[in-house]
Amino acid sequence: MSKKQDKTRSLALTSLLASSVHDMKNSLNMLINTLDDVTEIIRPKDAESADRLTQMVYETKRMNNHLVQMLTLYKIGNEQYLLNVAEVDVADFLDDVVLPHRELLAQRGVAVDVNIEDGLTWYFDKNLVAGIVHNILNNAYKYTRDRIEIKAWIEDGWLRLTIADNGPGYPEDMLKPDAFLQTGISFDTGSTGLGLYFAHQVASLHSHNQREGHIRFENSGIDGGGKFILSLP
Amino acid sequence: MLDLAGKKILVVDDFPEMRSMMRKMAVAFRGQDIDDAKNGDEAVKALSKKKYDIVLCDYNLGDGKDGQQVLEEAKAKNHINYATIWMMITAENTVEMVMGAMEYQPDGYLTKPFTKTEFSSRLEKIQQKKADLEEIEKAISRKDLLAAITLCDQKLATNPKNLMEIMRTKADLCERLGDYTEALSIYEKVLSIRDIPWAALGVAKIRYENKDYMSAKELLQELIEKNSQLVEAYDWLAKTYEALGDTSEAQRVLTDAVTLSPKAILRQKQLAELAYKNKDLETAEASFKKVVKIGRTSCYKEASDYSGLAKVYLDKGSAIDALKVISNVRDEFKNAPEATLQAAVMEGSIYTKLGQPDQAEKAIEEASHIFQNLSGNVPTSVAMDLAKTCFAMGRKEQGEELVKYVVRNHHEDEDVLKQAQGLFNEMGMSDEGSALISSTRQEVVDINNKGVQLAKEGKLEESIEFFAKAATGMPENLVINLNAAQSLIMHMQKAGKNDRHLYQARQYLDRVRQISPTNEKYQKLIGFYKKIVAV
Repeated sequence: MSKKQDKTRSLALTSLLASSVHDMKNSLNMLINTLDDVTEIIRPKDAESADRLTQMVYETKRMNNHLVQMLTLYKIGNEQYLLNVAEVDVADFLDDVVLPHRELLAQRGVAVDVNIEDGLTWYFDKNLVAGIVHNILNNAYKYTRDRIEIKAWIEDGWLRLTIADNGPGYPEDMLKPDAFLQTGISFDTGSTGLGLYFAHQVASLHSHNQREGHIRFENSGIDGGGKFILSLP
Repeated sequence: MLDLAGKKILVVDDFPEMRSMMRKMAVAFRGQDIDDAKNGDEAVKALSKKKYDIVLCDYNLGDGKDGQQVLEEAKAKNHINYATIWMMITAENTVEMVMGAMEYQPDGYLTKPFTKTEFSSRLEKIQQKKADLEEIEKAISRKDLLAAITLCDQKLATNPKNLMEIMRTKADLCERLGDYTEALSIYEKVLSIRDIPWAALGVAKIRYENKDYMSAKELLQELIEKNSQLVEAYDWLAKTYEALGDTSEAQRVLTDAVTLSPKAILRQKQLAELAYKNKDLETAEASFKKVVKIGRTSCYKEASDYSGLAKVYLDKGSAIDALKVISNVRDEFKNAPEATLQAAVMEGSIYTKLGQPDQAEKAIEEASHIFQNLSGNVPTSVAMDLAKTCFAMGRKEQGEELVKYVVRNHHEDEDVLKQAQGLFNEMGMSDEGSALISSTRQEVVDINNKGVQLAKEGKLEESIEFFAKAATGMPENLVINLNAAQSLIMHMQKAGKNDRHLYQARQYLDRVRQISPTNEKYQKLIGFYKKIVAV
């Protein structure tokens, strides 16, 4: 097969995958909003069931994130992803990303603090980096005790974004610098390492002045809890 | 908190569940006046009937138009204006849209799935941003680009949150006004901060406009190497190759671009025309067919799509197919004299090929008649086609008159002059034609110089009269119309305004606006004109 046919085929497959994802997202959207509505009705009468429904919303959102990440990784792999680096107001951006998590976290009694200097801007692909933060928050939701703290600042030409919790900390495997190369590691409950791989790929897509973005995990969070560090040049 | 009371809202989605969900969300924030549409055509229809404040439009609308096409059509037809909020709902990251032409961008995106809270938070942010940029948008929408640039500068001086966006807007405005030096300095400033594709593309565009084609080519190739999905870079690379005379390479680049964006009709049209120029009739036929097909649901549908296809058939020797295509034009563009003109022109050459001189005569008579009636409003390419048919039918004098008419109206437009010469070459009249073109050009230059000289000597009234006469003979000539307006304005600046002069100046300015709304001299004259009116 010629190179051109290859390209046309791969574009056709991408568009097929994209429209399937679109279709699934419509279903997920319905699911999430119906669950939302039902939760609102049930909550005054039966708080416990309402909490369980909220849990379902969380799972649905996780599914959604995974779908998007798979499609994005496919596109990146086939050089069909156009990186959209633009100036981003970091506080605004994190507001948007954290918003859908707030209710769920509040129900679990987890407090989220976002500490970002007003007017801080940086350059990155909003959609991609949002995917990373969603992953980390979904994860922190499971493991933190009752706190999550998000910080961002600029240091020597890098944007540092940290998400710290006061849970038991990340497992030993994840603290290694090449953790993203392993699969099936301890995201528990059948996690495949997709999120980790995605985060690594997205970070390294961001380059500037011969420097590449990267991610790191530490157990230097609140009271020795987990801390995720994203650095973007 | 978001308050939608009193807002006119349109919801566009192909899924009934999504429509009712969005409606419910709007209602939750006190929205009452909510309409919906299930596809692009319905949306355009709704938009044409009512001025909406907010449009919530899904990007993916099934088989017909997508959300971006609906937005473009609504803007092109003035169904929406600067005040309308357009929120595009997407299933995934759709960068093609972010990269596209600035004037056709939605105010914001919302990615599925979203909850009520996310919906309201996003819409509120868009409302704020919109209010923040309202004055600039307003100036742009009334085509007062100089004022818009001043407003951008004022905003930039306050070191705003959306600095880059305002810089991009300003650069775009400078480009439209032909102020390439300023545009370039903005793009370079952005690039010194960050390697941002639109800024790099901006630099390439300026190099192209400055006719520095080799370095434009290098930069565009580099850009595509790094961002293989940046379709706009392909467009400019193709244009650059064309300017360098390498039309087959230009066609190859456009073919790649079309593969990336199969629904974009204007790009498809360019490919078709280029392939025809390259005598690659197979590609031209396939592309024109696609253009006609996509065109059925597009605001960019034109009679020239059909005549293009007919020309291909004619060159391939299938005059009957050509005739069939042209009969569609008469059906699909009823009450559009310009389209009928094109149909008649094509019929003239088709019947000539078929050896039916009577029918050909009849068609060309019809075409000449419409041409007369439309005087001043015929696209150059159509006038040229008519001239070509005249030559082919042995109506040499009429053909020459037509070419002279075109040259007179576009005496400074290199592309048009090249086309005219090309036509003469094709007819085996190279020398004769080139003499005719240069004498006609000189005629216009002399006329213009004389009018300008009169004005310089302070004989403004004579100059006004002189240009008025000239403009009657060449209603589409940019320079003549500009100078006609200028003499009138200079006169009013000196001797005071009067209704007749105001009216005349307005007419010339209106003509210029139709030819080139972004012309810098025009923008300045409009400024003076406004001052005079305000006195």
